[in-house]
Amino acid sequence: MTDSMGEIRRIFYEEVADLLDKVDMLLLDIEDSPDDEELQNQFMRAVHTIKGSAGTAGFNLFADVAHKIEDVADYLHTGKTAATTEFFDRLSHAIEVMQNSLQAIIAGKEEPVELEEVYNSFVEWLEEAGHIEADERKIGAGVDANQFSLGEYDLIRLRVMAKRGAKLHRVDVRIAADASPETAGVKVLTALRKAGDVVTTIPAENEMDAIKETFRLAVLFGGEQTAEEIKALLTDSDFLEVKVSAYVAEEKKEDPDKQQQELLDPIKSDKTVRMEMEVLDQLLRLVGELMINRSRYSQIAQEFREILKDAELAGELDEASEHLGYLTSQLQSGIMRARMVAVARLFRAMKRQVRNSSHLSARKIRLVTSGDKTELDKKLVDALEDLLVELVGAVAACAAESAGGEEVQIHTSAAQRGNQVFLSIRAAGAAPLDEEINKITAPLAEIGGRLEKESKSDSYAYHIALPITLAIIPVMMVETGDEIYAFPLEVVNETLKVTQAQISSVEGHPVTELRGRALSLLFLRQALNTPGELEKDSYSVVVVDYKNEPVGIVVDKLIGKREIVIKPLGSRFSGIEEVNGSAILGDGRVALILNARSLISDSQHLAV
Amino acid sequence: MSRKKKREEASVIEEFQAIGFNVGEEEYGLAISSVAEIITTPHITRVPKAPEYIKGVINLHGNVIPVFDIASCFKIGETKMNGNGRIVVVEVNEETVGIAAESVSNVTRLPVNSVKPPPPLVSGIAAEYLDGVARLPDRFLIFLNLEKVLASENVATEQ
Repeated sequence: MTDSMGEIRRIFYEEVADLLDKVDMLLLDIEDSPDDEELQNQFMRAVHTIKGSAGTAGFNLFADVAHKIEDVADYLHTGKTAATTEFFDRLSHAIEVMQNSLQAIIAGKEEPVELEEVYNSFVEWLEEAGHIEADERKIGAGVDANQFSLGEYDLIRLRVMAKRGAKLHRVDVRIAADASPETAGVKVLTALRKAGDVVTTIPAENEMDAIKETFRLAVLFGGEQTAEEIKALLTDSDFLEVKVSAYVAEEKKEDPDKQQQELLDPIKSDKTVRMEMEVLDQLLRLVGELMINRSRYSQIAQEFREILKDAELAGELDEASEHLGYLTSQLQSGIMRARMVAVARLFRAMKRQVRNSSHLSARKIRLVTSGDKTELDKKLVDALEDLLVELVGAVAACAAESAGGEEVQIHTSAAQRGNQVFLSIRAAGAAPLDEEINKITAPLAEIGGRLEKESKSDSYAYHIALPITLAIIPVMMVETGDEIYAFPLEVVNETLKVTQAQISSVEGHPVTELRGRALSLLFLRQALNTPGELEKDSYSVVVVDYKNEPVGIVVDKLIGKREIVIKPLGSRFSGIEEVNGSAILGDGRVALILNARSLISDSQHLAV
Repeated sequence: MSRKKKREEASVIEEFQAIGFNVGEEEYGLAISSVAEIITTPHITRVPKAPEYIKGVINLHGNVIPVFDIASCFKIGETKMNGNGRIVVVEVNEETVGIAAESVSNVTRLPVNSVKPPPPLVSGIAAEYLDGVARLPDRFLIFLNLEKVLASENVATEQ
């Protein structure tokens, strides 16, 4: 094998990993809508491409299993077989084995024996169902006796050779009964390789021991020689008979549509690049640091203004830093976009779980999804998968026990609003016990998510709010006492300054006037028990909405708008509702991000 | 590897390395292997509504970690941070946390058998939170069982 095999393995992996995922997803969709022809077509096309890639890369077991899956899917398509649970179970299992095998292959191992088992079990199944002739052989006896299996690479090689003026011949060698078939095979190939190019063989090179069954070897050979000259190369007592015929590139019964798809797929993948998640992580970290660093410039500009009283230099620095901020934002958006993946893959895992529950119980339970295209950071999606599978499992278990016989539906949806993504799971009937659900609250908090339960008379729902990414958000930074806090800008309506004189008291609660109406005030210092007691002449106020009414949060000073990288605080602090994460400031300090709504609802210092 | 196991291994060599840190009247010992790093005290951001024994959070290489006040954990006072104050960073139960220390001593080699099982109550701390005590000629080191002390159930946040 030449060195290019390593390259071929890598390309194989890259093509097939995604396709297998797609096929897995399609299978679940087909199970839900067995009459949807388009789904079936997509399925078969994908499996067909997998088969071709595997064959070219030399993973023949893999290709064979893919071939059988294609056959079976075709039987469904043509109505020869029904969409039974067994049908989907078998296919699902086969796909799983292929996914595991892919991992083994990329780790440098040989194709696992499980592939052979799956293949043989398919053959048995199809035999039983009467779909194939009883003498279709299982693995070990050679597959597809007479046609060379040519993948895209082979076709390209053939075209190149043809251009070069090389002649293509099919060399059939019959091996003497008393010879060692494998050794004979090797002799043939060695001799031919000295003289020209071996494009492909039957049986495939990594299956040379199959010659034991047939005592035949066929080689597609390209070179300058004539048929007679080739024949002359192969003289050995082991070779009983050597037939050489001109090879005419005859592609198998390919559907023009299928062919088109195959040609398109590799081209499409040329426009994309695979990247290690770590590289994206690193980039995102760097962007985060850029942002923090940039806010230092704002601070320095501030100091120029206040301490050095140089407004001009401050202005220039501010302008430069603003532009830097703009560029950094663009960079950040780009990288975050690169990390976004659709939640559909989460739904797929959930569907599988629901399907399992459905099989285990006697009830038919179905997961209905919407908002599949909503996107989330890949890291979050990875972290969420286990949690959501557990959550939907608990819901499905309850659904299974509910009364009645009809199909139970569990609805799950995903939607994006502002900086957050909301995932909901809805079901009718009784809800799972709170203890079961509590198990996921802590790990959820660790990734910045929050779970809320909504109970109605005959149904319930779980709502999970998540940050779109380990996010960068704009905030309003404020100072109270010696402490710096941040309010997400999306909750801030406006800011204003008030003097002590403008604050009056209504039934013990501080209020001020805003555009002719009373504005309830909450002193942040009191809400957070900030140490130190300083009555000032004037304060700044951050006005937020609370239950459709404006409320003013009083702070000592407004620092200004900033963009910050959210650092989750961890599950230890998840019980503190008033604090929603933290941020690292330009000078290295940690500032806490506050939840205005919680502050207000908790406090007793309001006139609302 | 747990401290106990390390100590078992070290007992073959008979010695292990430890640092001591002071909080209030007591000196606490930590096997060097348990310590991720020791840093000068950065700005500690107070977390409102957090339990007393969490002094706040700090920025450790871009990550935000909590800082514990051991004295406050056991209600035997409060760690006072001054110029000599340090944060001892440990990794316990897969969590990185800082322990506030008023001062930290140099690394010492200790004979393993100098660490004895603790009496039921040591300076106000129940034995279950201790790995042992070491009575040395010039000092008395209390070895905390950090996993227990910092375990979430013990020190759960207020709801």
